[in-house]
Amino acid sequence: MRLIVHDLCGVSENQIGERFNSDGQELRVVSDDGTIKQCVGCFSCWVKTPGQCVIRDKYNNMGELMGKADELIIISQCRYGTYSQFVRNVLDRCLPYTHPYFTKRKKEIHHKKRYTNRIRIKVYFYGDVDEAEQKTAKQLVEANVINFDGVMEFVKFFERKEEILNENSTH
Amino acid sequence: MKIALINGSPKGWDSASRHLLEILHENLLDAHAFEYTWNRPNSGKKDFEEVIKCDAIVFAFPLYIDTIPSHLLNNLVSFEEYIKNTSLSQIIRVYVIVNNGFFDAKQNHVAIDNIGHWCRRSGVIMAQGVGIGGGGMILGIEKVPSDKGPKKNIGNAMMVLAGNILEERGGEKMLILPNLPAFAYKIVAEMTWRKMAKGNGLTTKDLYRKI
Repeated sequence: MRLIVHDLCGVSENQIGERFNSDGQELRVVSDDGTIKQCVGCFSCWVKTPGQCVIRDKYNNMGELMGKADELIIISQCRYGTYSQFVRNVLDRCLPYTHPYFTKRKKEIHHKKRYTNRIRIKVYFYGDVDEAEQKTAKQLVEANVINFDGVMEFVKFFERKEEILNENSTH
Repeated sequence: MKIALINGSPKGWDSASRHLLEILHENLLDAHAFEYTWNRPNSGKKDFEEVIKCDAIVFAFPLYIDTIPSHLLNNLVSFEEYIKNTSLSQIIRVYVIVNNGFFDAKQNHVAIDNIGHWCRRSGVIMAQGVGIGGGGMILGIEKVPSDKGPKKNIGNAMMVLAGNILEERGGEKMLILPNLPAFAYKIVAEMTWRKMAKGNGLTTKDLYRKI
């Protein structure tokens, strides 16, 4: 399954599908409808309802979606070398994808995996991003890849978000 | 000298960030330090007017998926706009304390750099960042004196940070490990998760549940 998390306003799932799903793979699109609630760090998704976020909104299945994904495509405005508020929020809500126990990865301590899949991660940043912010954003995605025990595909930067939808590439 | 101490943990009072700011506050001597809690996406707005009158701002927050928690990021975006629309009468220096639940403090470096970029965009000075590993145990050892045992390194770092704030100077990024071996931290942390799960009527096996 291809999971797309994006913060593009006024872009329909069909438009996203046309751009990113020419091979017809199963697609799940996570968009901002203004109702997402923040992760409050309660850890219920680890010790009360393992694997499941207890917050009542339509974004409480992110752990499950990540567990079923082969590929994660993130489209986000770049803010200070990190993601936009919405994309950050979605990623915070991915905590149930991980297990509370620790393991070592790349000589660093991280959380164990709850699922066995290895997600290929592609990130499209857009906006006014200077060189220093680009460097930090790349480091952030690399850290996310290690954290989720995924596979880094690429990190790309665009000045305007429209360029991402019009980019001439397979994905 | 006026200092704003901003707790950016979503847990508010019941957080390691609050306790780290308390340790820092103890070292700030007679300076006027004011405490704020920005634990929701817009909770900072009511404080912007007061905070920009300070000479130093200290943000303390937990690392969330390798960077700034989303609600704090939302506050920072609004605060950047507010600062840009205000003529500052003084130089503002920003200090940041990031703690993570992992053991290695270096994993906080991206979040510290994120705050540095926010400072540049907002027209304030990024003065110093402190990354603290083993954040999961900080509240559990709240009663331990800051200069002793597992808190010794944290206590020392907060003393150095307070000195830099009072002297109105910057400093190198500090990455602080808990004063105990990594294996001990791992054992205690995992035991805590099992205990919490048991309290919720779950077994250790249940922790591995898939949806």
